Order: sequence, then C-alpha cells, then structure tokens
Amino acid sequence: MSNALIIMLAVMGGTMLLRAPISFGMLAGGVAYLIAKGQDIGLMAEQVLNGLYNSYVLLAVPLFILAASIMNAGAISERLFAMAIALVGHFRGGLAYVNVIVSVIFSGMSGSAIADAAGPGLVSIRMMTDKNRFTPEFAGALTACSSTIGPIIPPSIPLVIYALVSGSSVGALFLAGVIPGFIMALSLMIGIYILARIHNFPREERPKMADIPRIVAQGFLPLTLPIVLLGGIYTGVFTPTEAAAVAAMHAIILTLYYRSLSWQRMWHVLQESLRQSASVTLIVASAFIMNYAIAAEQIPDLVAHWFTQHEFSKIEFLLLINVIFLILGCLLDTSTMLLVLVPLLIPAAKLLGVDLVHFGVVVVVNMMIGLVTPPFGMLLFVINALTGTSLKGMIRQSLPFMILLIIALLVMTLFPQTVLWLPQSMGYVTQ
Amino acid sequence: MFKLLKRGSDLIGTLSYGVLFLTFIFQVILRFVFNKPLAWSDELIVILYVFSMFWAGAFLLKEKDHVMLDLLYEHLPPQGKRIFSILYSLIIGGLFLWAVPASYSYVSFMMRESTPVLGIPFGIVYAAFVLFLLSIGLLYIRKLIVLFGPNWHKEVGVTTHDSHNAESVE
Repeated sequence: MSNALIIMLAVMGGTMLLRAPISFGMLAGGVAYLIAKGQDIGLMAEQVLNGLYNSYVLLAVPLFILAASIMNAGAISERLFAMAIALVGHFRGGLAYVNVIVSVIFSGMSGSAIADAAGPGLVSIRMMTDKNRFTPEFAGALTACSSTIGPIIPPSIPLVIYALVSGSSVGALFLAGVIPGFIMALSLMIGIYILARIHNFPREERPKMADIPRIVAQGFLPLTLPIVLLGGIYTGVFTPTEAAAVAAMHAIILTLYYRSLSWQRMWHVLQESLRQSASVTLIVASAFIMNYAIAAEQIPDLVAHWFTQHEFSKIEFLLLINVIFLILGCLLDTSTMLLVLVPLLIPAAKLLGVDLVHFGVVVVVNMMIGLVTPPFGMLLFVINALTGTSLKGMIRQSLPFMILLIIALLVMTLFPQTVLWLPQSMGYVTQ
Repeated sequence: MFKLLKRGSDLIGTLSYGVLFLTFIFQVILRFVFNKPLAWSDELIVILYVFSMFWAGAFLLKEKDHVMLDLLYEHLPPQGKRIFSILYSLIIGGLFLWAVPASYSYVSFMMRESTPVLGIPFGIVYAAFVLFLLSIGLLYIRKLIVLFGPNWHKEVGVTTHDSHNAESVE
C-alpha cells in the first residue's frame, strides 16, 4: 500500500466519520490521492465522467426510483392492501402477514428498501397500530425487516450496481433474487406465526366470500407489472434497463387509470426522484475514482492472493465474508460496501470458484440485513423519522426477525442452488 | 434574482430528467412496437443522464439529501458538531476547489471530441461536472463563513434522516 492510498482512505474515512456526504468524501479522497501521487488531477474528472458515461446499465437506477415514487404517490400500494387483507387477514396476526405479503408484491415493482418502507411500509404501520392492534414498535420493526425484501426480489437497485462492479449479467442476478426473496418472506412469516401464538395477536374480519373476487381483481392490476417485467427480461424482449423504463411507464398508466395523481404532483414526484437518483448516482460516480486508485495499487489481487494463500474453501470464504459484512453493515451504508469493498473481493471470489451471481445475491441480502442492524440502520431511521416510533423499541422488537433473516441468509450461502436454480433453469451458465 | 436562478436551475434539471425518461419510453415503443431501433436515442439518454445527475448535484441537492453517516455526529454537543462541520467543510471545500482548474482543462480538452451519433462535444456533456465541483466547493466556503460567524447554531442544528433523505442504493 502506498502512502497516497493511505492518504486517500484517511480523507475518505475521516470525512465520512465527520459526517460529510459520502460521495463528497470519496471524490475528495480521489483528489488527495492524485495530489499525493503527483498525477494530473484532471484524471479524476476523466475517471468519473467516462465511468458514468459508459455505465449504461446504471440508467436502470433513476428509472426504478421514478417508478417506485410514482407508485407511492399514486397510492397504488393501498389497493394491494385490500387484496392481501381479504386473503390472509383472518389469520391470527393477520395484518402482520399482510405487511409481509404487500412487501413481497411491492418489491416486484420497486428496487429499493427505503422506497418500500416509506411507501407501503408506512401504510402498513398505520393499519397495524390502528385500534391498538399492534404496538408501534412491533409494526415498525416488522416493516423494517419486510422492506429488506424489496431489493432482493427484482427489480433491484443494489443488484444493478453489483452487476456494474462485478461484470455479471443483470438478468441472471434478477432471476437469482426471486427465490431468496421468497425464502426471506417465509422466514418472517414463521416468526409471525410463532409470535402470534405467544402474544395472541388480533385477527381481521373476513370479508364476505362474494366480495373477494372483486377485491382481488382490484389489487390484481398493479400485480401485472412484475409479471410484465420479469417476463420481458426472461424472454429477452427488453433489457433490464428498458424494463426499468417500462416499469415507470406502467406506474404512470396505472395512476392515470386510477386518476390518483395530478400534473402538478407529477412534476413534484419527478423532481423528488431526480434528487434521490442524483444522490445515489453521485456515490456510484465518485466510487469510480476510488476504484481507479485501488486497482492501480493492485489491492484486489493482494486480497485474492491472501485468500488463496490461506487455502480458504468456497464455503469458508462465503461464511467469512458474511460475518465481516454483517459486522460492517452495522456501521457502514450499503453503497460504500457495495462500491468499495465488493470490488476488492471479486477477484478472490473468482479465484476460489465462487459463482459471481451467487456471491452477489448473498452479499446484497447481507447488506439489506445491515439496513436494520443498529447503530447505523437506515430503515430504522426512516421509519423513526416518518412515524416517531422509538428506535430502541424497534431494535428490540426486530431481534427475532433479524435472527430468522440471518438463518435465511445462511441457507442461501450454504445451498447455492436456492439462488442459482432459477437462473440456471433459464439458461444462465454458472461457473 | 437568486430565487429566479434557483427556479431556473430546478427547471433545467427536472426537465432534462423528464426528457431522459420520455426518450427511453419512446425508444422502447419504437423498438418493440414498430420494430425500428434508434441510434440517437441511446446516446441522448446517456448524455442527459450524465448532465442531469451532476446538474442536480450542483444545484438541486441540499446537503441533507445526501447519504451521510452521523454515527458520531448526532451524539455530540453543539460545539462538537460545529468543530466536525468546520473540519469536513474545510477538507471537502478545499479539495473540491483544488480540483476545479484541472477538471476544467480536462473538460475543455474534451470539446475536441464529439459523441458518435449526435455529434455533441463531450466538453458540453461533461461541463456540469465542473459546475458541480465549483458549486459544492463554494457552498462549503459559505458554510465555513456561517460556522465561524454568530449564526453557527443554525448550521449545525439541521436534523438528518427525514423521509426522503438518503435514498442510498438500498
């Protein structure tokens, strides 16, 4: 490691701890690196701009953000609730199941856990706490945990970014996320089942049998999107990036159909999505200069060398990475881990013969769990900001669900087939 | 005057993002409904993407819109927050402004090369990046001035983590 690299990491890490925006810290670190190396500082502009210009696949990110924002603003998620309540509301702890089911459906349309928590998650919390059915802490904790499914079931913003840093196919990654997403949902439902019996959770009234087809039909329209999306990607009719545009268009057509969004509101949504997209994109763009420096210093090769030298097996490697990422996930945000740490590990994973699609899904699931683990749990913060529910209470209530999600992660790690079966059966060739 | 500029820059950013989206839809429709692939649309989309992201970074995003880690910061007393803010404003502002001249010369050098289909000079596509560096650099200089002045309380009292803060990659 050269001094220049150490200076870069110090500037980046230091400003990050001081609470500077992460993207600015990375850029400033890049500038410091080039100064210390005595290289042309214009190289930063070149790396960042050409990197972004050539990352066509990244375009999916702003488009998926737009689609999720339109769906949230257009109150599409509300329609899903009526359907889910009709189907599972009468179980003990019915609304808790509804929370998970709506998360699963919504994650077929949005690729972001935050969008999931702020949209349907918030509606779900309001319903669950109405008439004291559940405590706000439990509702908040469950919503945080169920929102983690959002970026696992396709579409997925972190998987798009992983595809960028690892060079694997977005289509294969999207397919690979489907079954893990359902495993996560199932493990949360097992938790609800057990807790419902311990705490005697309330049930909802069952709607009349005659009404059910109508309610399901109303909620069915938004459901067509994941079908169109996945169908389009599987059959190769459109690329994942185009799928993102189709998703946004679908959301607009639905809101027009339901007449739930005015033009003025639409403009506002557009502006809001631009802000969110820019804040993500700036981090990704800034990471280009970081990764340039890291690659120039051949750090990924050193890491790969270290792993092979210590004769790690595939499983040992994956388990070790999981432990490291779970710990770091408590402290770091997803983008930093995905853009700075994951590229370091890609050559090692390749050398050990770990399938990169399997690796991608495992690390992304791991990082989503990191969104709920304190002290830095973004989902907890978002719910706390939106509802004012105490962080401490939510953290305590989320514990059983976190354990179940970690078990689910372990299953995906130890049994690669849970991740790879679907993409393989659609023609993806694994390593 | 300042408000007018702000509104103008909001409009430019949001419009380019909107056009990006519409071009995408247009392209998908032409490609799959009329089976007519377009050469220029992919390029226009990427150009608008690079432009609108840095434009938004320069003029639309407030500091709290960015992903920040306030693990330590939120537990500090006001004076501690002030010191933290001064330190990172100095580092970020200083290094960003340092990078402006070299970035400007790279971007103006890129005026000679044009995008393959539309023939737009890369210097124009990339110009927003220099504006971004300059704007953020100056914003932090302004922040430093406030932090050293009598109104520093306001500058450190901003709460983070509101609903649309930090749409990270999750």
